[in-house]
Amino acid sequence: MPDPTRAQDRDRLADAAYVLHGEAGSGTIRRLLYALYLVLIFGGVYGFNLLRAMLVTADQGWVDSLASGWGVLALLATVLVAGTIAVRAGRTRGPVVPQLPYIDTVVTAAIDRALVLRELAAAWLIGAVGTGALIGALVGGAVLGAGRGGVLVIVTAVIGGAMLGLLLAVLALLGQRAASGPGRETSVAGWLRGLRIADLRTHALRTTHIGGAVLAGDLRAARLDIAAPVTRGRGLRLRSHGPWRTIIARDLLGLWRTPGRLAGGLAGIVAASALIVVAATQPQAPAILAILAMALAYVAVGTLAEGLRLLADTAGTPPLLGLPFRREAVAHLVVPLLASVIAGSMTAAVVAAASTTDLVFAVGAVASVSTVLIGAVTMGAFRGSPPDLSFIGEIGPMAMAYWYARPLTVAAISGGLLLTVAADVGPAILPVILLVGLACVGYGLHLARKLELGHRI
Amino acid sequence: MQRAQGHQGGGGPRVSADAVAKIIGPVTLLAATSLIAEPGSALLVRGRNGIGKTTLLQILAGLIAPSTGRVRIDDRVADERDTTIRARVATLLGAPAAYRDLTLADHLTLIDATWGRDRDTCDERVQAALDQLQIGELAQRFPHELSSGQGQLFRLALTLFRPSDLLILDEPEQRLDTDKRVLVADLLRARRDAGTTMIVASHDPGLTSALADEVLDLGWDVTASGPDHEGGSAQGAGDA
Repeated sequence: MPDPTRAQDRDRLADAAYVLHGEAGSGTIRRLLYALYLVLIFGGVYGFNLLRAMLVTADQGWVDSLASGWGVLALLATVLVAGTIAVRAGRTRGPVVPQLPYIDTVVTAAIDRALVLRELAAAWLIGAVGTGALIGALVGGAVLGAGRGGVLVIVTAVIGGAMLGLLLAVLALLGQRAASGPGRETSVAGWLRGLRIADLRTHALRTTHIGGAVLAGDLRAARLDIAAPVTRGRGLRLRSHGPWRTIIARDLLGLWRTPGRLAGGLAGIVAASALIVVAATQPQAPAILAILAMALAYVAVGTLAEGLRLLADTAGTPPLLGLPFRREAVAHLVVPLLASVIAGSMTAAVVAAASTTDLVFAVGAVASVSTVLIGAVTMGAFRGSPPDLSFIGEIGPMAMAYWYARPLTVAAISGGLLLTVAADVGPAILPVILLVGLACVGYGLHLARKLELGHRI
Repeated sequence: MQRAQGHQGGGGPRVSADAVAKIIGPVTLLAATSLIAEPGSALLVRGRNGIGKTTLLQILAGLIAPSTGRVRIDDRVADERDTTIRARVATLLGAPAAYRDLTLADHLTLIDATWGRDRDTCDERVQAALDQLQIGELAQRFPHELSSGQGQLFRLALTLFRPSDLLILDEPEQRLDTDKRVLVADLLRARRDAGTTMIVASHDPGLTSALADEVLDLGWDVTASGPDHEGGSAQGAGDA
């Protein structure tokens, strides 16, 4: 016998949907399927051909290593990291968050919350499974097209991708549920019922703030909305050690009080440095490895450069500190540079000891690309406002994406290409990498000067 | 033209604005305004919302360039890119950005260190600076743990703590309760009496009467886009 309350809830929700969207309904699932269709077309045209070309040109030994024990370990490590990120992202901004007016007018009503949020949750899960399956099909298809595997690879990749997508989607949803306090629910409906209205509102407001901040190019506002308030290390005191050393002590204290940022940054540097050593010392390593390693290293070093970013945020405001703007910027570079050089060199030494790689060359490669990374981080911190083109309808998103990604691109492409060359020519390239790095730092400080003066209209 | 006379002929600079205005396209943010603040004096700026008080303060601090006219701080053009100007002028115009991972005491220590003060006595100075604004017990709090009034006192502490002999403040009394307004008025008066030149925009009659040597009224007429203020009426502090 049907539950009369549930039937009543469905009727009330249907009435609300009619008022909001009319006969056509919300169209959430319809729009999602269209987006998946676009991903399929785009991935098929560009991604498939690019992946296939990479597999065709890659060294056979490298391709074989992907299916070895090390490859499986790397995949498991990647899934672990992705899962952790999914949970944390879900806590910060859950995947099932309606728009604020919908929360205030419909979610607050005495209708089963699982029912009210069901469409959004379904869209999230279908989207994640579909995206995973598409990526699996892309990878499997490229392997088949490159003649490196059979049809079974495609089937395995599609199923594996879909399952991985589902896993990450559920973890993100669990992260969102965990933000609303402890609970023992074991189903999606139970998790949805456990979401508190206050948390849904917080997440919806955060979405609005971050979206607005990103569109306006206000990276500080976006960062502050995502970052958790600092409460650790209250008893520690910053001590006066003179202008330079106090700035450096400030950055160290800041990292000590945000251990998640410190651990994440150092872990990223360690992982990226291991890949950098491989890319710089093994001629058969694919160029994409060097580019990915530099991209990861850029993000990791940037995590440790909060002081530099805050300085950039305050450009043009009345000065409180007694150091000239650019000199303070240079002081803020010390901690991320040292972290990159020290953690990277230690990793390089371990990798060199575990293989037949030349220790001095391995350490030299990691240390020299650290200057490129610091230069790119400086360029990123002082990138200023987005270009006017970002606010023009058709090309705006592309211009904005380019503006965001420019420093990352500089680090990944210039550093990645130099590392690829290093694998062929050896230590002779290290002074060139150093010079490119110093040029990047110089350009970053030039941007700092430009930003400092730019506000004076 | 408003001319604020100094109390003790103190060490602060003489500030003069000669018909400064700020016009962007068709919009007049600040109509032509002239003033003189003598060393060690306090000039209070008043006027309706939108008349250009904050814009005037930004120009006086050298943060933005006037469209017309010129501001001099002693013998130098007001321009914060000039290190000499930066060393003399402390400004509270809106909320300065704070580090989310530093406590209140850490912020003041950072300021103290970058101005090259004695390291051994830094902690005492920091505590005294917080105590004088009655937020000494909050020294180990992070900025996001303050109420809006405590936040304003913290911002005032940052501004007053750095060395300066010209203070430019935009509504320092905002968000403060009555007792704290009196406290801030007393502190600012002490700074003025010690020789610091002060230019303050304020809507608070108490602060105005406690501090002002001269009042510059930019205007109250809501229909006006911004009158010229050269030669406008001067009011003594007691009339505020």
